[in-house]
Amino acid sequence: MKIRVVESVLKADAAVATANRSRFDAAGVLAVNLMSAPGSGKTTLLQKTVAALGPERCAVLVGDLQTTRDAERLGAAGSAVTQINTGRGCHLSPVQVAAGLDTLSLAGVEYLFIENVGNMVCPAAHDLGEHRRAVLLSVPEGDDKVAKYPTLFQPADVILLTKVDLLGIVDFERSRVIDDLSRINTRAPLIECAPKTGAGMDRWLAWLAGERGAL
Amino acid sequence: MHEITIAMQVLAQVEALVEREHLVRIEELEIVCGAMRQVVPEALETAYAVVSAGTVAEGARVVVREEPLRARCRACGCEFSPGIDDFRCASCGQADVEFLAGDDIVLKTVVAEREEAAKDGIRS
Repeated sequence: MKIRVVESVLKADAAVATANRSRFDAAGVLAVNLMSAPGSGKTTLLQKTVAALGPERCAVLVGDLQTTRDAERLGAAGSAVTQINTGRGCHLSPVQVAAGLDTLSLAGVEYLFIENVGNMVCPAAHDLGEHRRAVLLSVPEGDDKVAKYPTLFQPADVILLTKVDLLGIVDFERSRVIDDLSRINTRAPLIECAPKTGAGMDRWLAWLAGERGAL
Repeated sequence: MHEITIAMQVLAQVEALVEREHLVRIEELEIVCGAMRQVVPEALETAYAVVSAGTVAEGARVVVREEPLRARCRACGCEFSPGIDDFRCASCGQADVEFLAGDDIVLKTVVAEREEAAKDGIRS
């Protein structure tokens, strides 16, 4: 016999993501999911962000397959940090985020950053309950990533072009990124920055403050 | 790689259905995957075979169908069918959409054998 089901396979995860979002809302916390390829500078961006905002206003959940190295780097900045090791998992799940939240106190926290596993495909398909999605693209990765990974860039609320201090040193055409974004995502602002030198950080911090104010 | 996670979620749905409908054998699953979900059909079939091994849902044929994108432009409200590499509105040219179709994964139908039918040796 044929049984008609018509039920979202993602509904269990969607329910957990919704519960996560309710926890963020209740705590008055802006939750930002950061996604990119490995090595694009997510952790460095967060180190500088936490230092600029004040560590007591921030908390971080950081996902990696192995090691606690990112959590150690971020912990040194003074914020509450929990490392989530996904083992063989190529992305964070809302259930892992819920478990990570259980280890953090959100009292007094205004910004929760979720540093996803470095991967340009799978994280994009999973709502963790975040309010906003930030996608990073670094200059040394090349200028063709937006066109190659449209499903990552399409739902982004903000796009950070990082390591712009390397423009002119490595081959990278800014105009190619802007042209590709005209087809993929015209909603998200493009913030050009180099967290290592501090360039562009003011725009990123202003964007964060604006989004938190809009909650 | 995320096909394993999806296969585990499908299996949980199928196991709940087995319990509710008193099924003894699952023959076929039809799964509709939205284009935005980036599911590789062969990978999902293999992943399902792996996660369902040793369960009542083992051995089912998995039929994966892709659902094309359908979107509404947030800027002008126009409805259109974007490509996966071009989300520009056909009317105003902005690439700012909300999805009406192609952004979910749905277990649509299950072909199975029920307990009584198995007892009678009849495949319903």
